Amino acid sequence: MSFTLQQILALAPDDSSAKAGMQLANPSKWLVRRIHPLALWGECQGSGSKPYKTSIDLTNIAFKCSCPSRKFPCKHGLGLLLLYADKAELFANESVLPQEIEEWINKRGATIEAKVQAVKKPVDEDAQQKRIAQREQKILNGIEELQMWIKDIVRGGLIHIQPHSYSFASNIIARMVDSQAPGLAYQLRKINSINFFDAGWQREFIRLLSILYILCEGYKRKGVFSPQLQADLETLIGWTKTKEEVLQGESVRDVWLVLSTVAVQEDALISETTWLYGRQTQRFAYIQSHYTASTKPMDVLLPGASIDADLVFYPGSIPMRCIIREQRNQTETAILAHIGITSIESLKDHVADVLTLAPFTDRIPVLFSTMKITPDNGRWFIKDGSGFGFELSNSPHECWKMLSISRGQEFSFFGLYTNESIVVHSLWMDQKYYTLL
Amino acid sequence: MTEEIVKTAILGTDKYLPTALSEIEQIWLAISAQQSDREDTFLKGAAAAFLYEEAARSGLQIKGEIAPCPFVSRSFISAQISNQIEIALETKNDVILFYLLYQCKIRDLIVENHLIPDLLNKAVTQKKRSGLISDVCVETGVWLCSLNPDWQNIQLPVYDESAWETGAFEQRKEYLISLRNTQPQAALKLLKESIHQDNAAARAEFISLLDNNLTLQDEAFLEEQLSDKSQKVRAVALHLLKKLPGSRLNSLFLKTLTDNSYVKEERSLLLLKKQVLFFKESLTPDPQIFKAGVEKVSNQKGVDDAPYWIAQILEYVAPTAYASALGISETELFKVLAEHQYNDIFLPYLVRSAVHLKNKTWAKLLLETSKVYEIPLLQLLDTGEQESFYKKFLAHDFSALFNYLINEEYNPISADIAMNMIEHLRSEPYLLNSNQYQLLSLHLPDGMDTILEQFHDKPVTEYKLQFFKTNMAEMIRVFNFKNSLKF
Repeated sequence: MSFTLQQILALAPDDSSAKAGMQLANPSKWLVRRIHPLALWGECQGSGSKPYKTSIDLTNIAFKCSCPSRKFPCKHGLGLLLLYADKAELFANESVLPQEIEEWINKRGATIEAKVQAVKKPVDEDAQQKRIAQREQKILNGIEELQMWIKDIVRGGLIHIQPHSYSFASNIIARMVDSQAPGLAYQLRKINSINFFDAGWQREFIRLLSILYILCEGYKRKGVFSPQLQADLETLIGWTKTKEEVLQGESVRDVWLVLSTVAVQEDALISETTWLYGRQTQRFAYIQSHYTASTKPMDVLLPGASIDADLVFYPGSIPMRCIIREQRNQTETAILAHIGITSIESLKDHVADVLTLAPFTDRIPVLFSTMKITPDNGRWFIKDGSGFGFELSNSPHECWKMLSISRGQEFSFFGLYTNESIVVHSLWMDQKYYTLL
Repeated sequence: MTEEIVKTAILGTDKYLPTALSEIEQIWLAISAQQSDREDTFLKGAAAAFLYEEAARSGLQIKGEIAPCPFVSRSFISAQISNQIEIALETKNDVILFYLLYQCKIRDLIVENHLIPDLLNKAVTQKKRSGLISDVCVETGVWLCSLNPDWQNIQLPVYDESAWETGAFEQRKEYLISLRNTQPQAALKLLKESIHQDNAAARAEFISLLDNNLTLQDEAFLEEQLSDKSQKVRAVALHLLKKLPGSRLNSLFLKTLTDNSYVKEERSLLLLKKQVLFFKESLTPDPQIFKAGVEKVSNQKGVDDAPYWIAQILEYVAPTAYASALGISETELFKVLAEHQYNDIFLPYLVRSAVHLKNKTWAKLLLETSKVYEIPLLQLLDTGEQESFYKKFLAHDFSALFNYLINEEYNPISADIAMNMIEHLRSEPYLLNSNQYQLLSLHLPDGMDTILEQFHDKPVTEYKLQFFKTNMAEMIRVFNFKNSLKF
């Protein structure tokens, strides 16, 4: 398959690795350059006496290198893939994989299978139930405390509080962590992202608090709801399922287009979300992973590419979070034009449908087509043929890039609808895919 | 509806609670009917209202409409070059970036649209290169610049006369330069008509452009500028009038020289005779020359006022006219000046004279002396003639020669000079920084890769040679990169 520069650079753990990788994308640095349908490998002359051996699994993109770097992928992996993307003709075709690489690829397949089997280990069910009950009680106590905190705020009114002070929500966030309700702590942290120097911050503030309050109410009475909504509530509060448990569920096979990959760093932890779209099933999915700079997952998905894979979904009203059970191959960049919502009126219907099923959804993935981007009084909008639109929350530079690519014409894109605005992740124009984030 | 909720939130439920919320009246009534406190009622009602609003939100009517970008008919660069430009932008490698853009420009290719915003941002910070960037962004770049105030000062290609009327300063300057090149008098007319509308700095800059194709037809206009209220404008006009052969001031300068100097043969070493230039002891110049900028009192230690005046006047007098008045040839004039007791005083003014008057003969004569190392003189010579002086510059002022040979057209340096430069760098590796090594590599002629490798492979004995070796490796990479490009 062919890779674009953007796709490869998106894999770099940091800017310096990307830069170093680009410098290594030079044939003179590579003593050995080989390609097999399953793998790419080479030997790079580094500062040591022996060259570094670098291998790339082309089926489920993964890197292996003999260099001592803790970064993943290292500059040699990036350099090799960049060189292949730029000058594939320099790589000699091999019909047989070297033993070492073959063993590595087989071992990777076996690891995924082992995870599926892992849950079959016997567990002490009584002890497990006891732990669950203890945690449930802690969570309910935490919820009582949180609801009381929220009520105290609305009773006295927002004119009496200082929400922008550092310690405003820190205590209650810590209390939710103590109560083993990390989901509630995460929801509370959203308060910190409000710009309290903006006129009208009170609206967003009370919106967050009221939704959080009703989430607590919903959780306390979860028994009356459908199993799907119960699963939503439990996830939002902070109950998690292990990968092994999820992998026991039904899988959905499709050719999944990798729409975008977005990484957000909070302190040392990086949270990465990769959005997918099934060509046949026409459903969205996302893979969430958390890692530090030195522990990036081995498997990487290239934005813009397609993967033929079996996905297993976490339970929920509209299941979207998923795990890859089996990935067969990663193919050429796929173009997804003329699919999706074509008017703002249809978006409204879509949002209403989603919120009816899953009222706590805070971001709705949407594919749009025949939309235009336009600036207006320093703000950017996406608009349909009838002149209706929504504000974009992309950065100005991303918006100019979108305008430059589309040249004022209609285009297709993937974005997330989030409370009154849309953030565009990727777009298609003239049979080409572009990622923005 | 949400205004009521926000009002309640600000005041507090102790003080205020809405009796009804218009759009979710039934839900509000149901919530209110529950046996709960005011805060509970308010928070549930608020959540329902926000959810209702979210689910029923229509888009905004967007009034702004932009005309689509005009159709671009030129061919795009290849995917490989597009990738390389993106890499250069990502890594902030301007050396490679501008090389690639220049290669696109000479092939009449344009960059892909997704690169244009980054390139326009680059044009904002690198004004000198904005013309090159505009050339590869063409209509899409112009269209984007018309929409983004941050990009409106970028120098865009000059398409017509409207650039003079409505363009930015750089565009107007470009237009005037091109008009002066092709129709010198039309450029003068344009300036005469509109120069009073510009500020002093722009006036001075525009007038200085008359230097190209300067003739006596410009004299009247320049004389008028001597009464301009700006000292800067007056200085520019004065400079041009002084160097314009046949002008009032230039004639005055020539007359002052010819009236006060003569050549006489003197015996040298008993048998030989040589010509010597003398200046009259009773030298009393016209006071007008001091008004024309000649400094009256010598500011050089041990130099009397008279030779100092002569030196200043020599800067503007055409050697042919002066030599003819003295009855000797131009070369003989140079010789008598070079051998004059005040030759050290005269030399810098003679260099400036050769540059102002674009005098190729004197430029060569000056460069042949052991005291002159001036790049502007080199520029007056033909390429073949220039090369014979490169080695002289190499030893004396490597940086000046490097800056001269490194040009925006990436014309290759001859293999012989390139070898000498690299050899020189081996002994003085810190003369250039890493970017300059890359730039040098882009100017090397074909077939230099083996020579670079030989330099790279030479044993390293000193610490500073490690720096040289690292940069040689980088030069080899850039050289190979340059040869592998497919547009």
